[in-house]
Amino acid sequence: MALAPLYLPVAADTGALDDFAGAFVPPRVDAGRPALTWPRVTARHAAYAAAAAVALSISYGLMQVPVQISDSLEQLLNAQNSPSLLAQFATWAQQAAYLRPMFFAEVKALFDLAHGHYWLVYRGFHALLACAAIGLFVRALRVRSWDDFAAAVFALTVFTGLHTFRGLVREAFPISHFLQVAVLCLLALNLARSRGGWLVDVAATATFAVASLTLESGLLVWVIVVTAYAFGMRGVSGRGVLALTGMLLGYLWVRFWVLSVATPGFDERSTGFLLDVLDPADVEQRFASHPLVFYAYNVGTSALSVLFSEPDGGVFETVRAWMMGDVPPRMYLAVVSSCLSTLMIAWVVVARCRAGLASLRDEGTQLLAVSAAVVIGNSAMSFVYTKHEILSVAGCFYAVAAFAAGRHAIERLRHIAPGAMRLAIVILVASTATLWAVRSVGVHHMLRVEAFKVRNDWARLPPDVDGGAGRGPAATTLVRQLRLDAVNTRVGNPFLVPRWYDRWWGE
Amino acid sequence: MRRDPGRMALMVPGCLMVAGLFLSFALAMFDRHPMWPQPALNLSEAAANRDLGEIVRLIQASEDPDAPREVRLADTTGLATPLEAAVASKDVESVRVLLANGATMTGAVWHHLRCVTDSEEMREFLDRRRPPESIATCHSGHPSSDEASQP
Repeated sequence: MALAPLYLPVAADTGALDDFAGAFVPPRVDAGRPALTWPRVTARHAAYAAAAAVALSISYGLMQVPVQISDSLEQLLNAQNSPSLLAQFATWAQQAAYLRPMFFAEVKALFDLAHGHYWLVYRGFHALLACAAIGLFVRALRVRSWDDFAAAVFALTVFTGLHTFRGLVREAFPISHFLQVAVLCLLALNLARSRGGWLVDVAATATFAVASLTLESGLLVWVIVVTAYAFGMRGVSGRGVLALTGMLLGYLWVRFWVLSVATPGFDERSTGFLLDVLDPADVEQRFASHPLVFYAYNVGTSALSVLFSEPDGGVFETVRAWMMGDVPPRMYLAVVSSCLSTLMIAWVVVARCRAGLASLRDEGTQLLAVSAAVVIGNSAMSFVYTKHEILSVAGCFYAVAAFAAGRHAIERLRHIAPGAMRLAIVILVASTATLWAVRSVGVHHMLRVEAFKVRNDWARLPPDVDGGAGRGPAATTLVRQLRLDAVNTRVGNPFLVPRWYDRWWGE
Repeated sequence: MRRDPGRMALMVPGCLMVAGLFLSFALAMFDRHPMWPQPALNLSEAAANRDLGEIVRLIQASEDPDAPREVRLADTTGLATPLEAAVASKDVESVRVLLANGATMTGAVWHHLRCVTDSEEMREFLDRRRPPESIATCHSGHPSSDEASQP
């Protein structure tokens, strides 16, 4: 047990205890002056404080956004019509191309919980998920030193600045199931890094069950746990890994054999290809005879978009903008910051590969291995079409890799003799961190624009809007209340802010 | 904590951002969040700035949708009705929302708006909303006083 430093009132201090000062104060504290022992800020506390500031700020923005119409109103009306949670779950357990019954059950659960306070409950839940994601992210990094803290703050800017994170906070349907799956994947990483025990195994299986029934990306929980185990993170035991593998096989059997729920086909959505967005009909026409080329393109561009922020949704946006003669600064900001951080990650990967098997037990190597597996797995899941939200888990783990890269950069810089090379690397690292910090702030501008758009969407509805054909007066009351809630939300007008905001942080 | 160039290079930008966010959040307690400014707009200004939500909110708060108000622009101010402001901003949606929420389109108003706009999209929209008693011809792009005063 650590002893607190001994203090005496100045008048009573005869100096008799000076020789014994070392026995009462921690070794590194100067015994000649009173140590500032309260509040004692550790690197871990500082990291959580930084995470709290970021989480609260983003939550504040999320609470300014009304419940959106597109992809949300229909879900709310369905939840209103559904007689019970179980009925909602069962109804949505069998769809043509998706298996997401947990998501629809949650929409229903929150709807019943809301009792008319829809904005508060749905937006509040979104904000809570955002806080959980940021908290679990920082917790997974295990900050123990100020070097860790520096890398964690950098990783936090990558986490919130990446375009995939924007997808997590921009929209909710009315629950952001992409964000929920990101939270569950980060929870899985935390469990894999924990001390273990049967409770952790149970939590891991529950996490997989909820994630896989919420969204297809939830299967990445299995990827995380298995890769973590393979690289020496034994929070989830071998039995736990086996249980998860059994559940994965069960999921595949139920989905494809029992429920006959397929995967999305060509005709589902528009998707980007090179410099254009192709309609489902165009995709069908071009790739029906050789779909593997199309799938490979989607997987490849998905991975590239996480690593380099380009292409965006399958479209090489920066190239297209360059050909049109106007590349806004936000594109340079995104591509340059991503290239620099990917360069840092490549630096640490090369170093670990050179170290060989000896580095396998290193925490940094473990985090890099899990991150790589998630980026590959998540990209593979985007084989039919690619967009920001689908790649959001990969984005979160890219930030985990950025933490390992930041930690490595700090350590390596200490071993480089002062000189031009060291100065150049320090400038490069500082530039990377600065660009990501600027990029991260852009999330708030994006949220403001989104809030304005959503409110305008509601305002477009006529005052006497009804709940739709075949729906009763309760649906009309619901729609009118949501419209009223949205219109009465005070939102800043993005047309009144300087144009450079949009040039740097817009979409 | 030792001063270390690598650590400082990585940490300082993020810490500055976090400090800024913390300060912003503190200011939000007093409705002064720098990223979420909420300047008070009147109905004409809301229409001029395509703020459909604010248009509906103000009309619901019993603002007269036909009354002229002062519109503050970057370098000048002027008096305009919400419909005039919306037409000047060439935003068809603002005009549509104003009309759906109680703004009145008389023949004289229509004639005036139809003649002052230089937006093809706006002209097409107004043509679809033309009141039966209105006059379609303009003199030199502006309605003459006798045309504008006709019912």
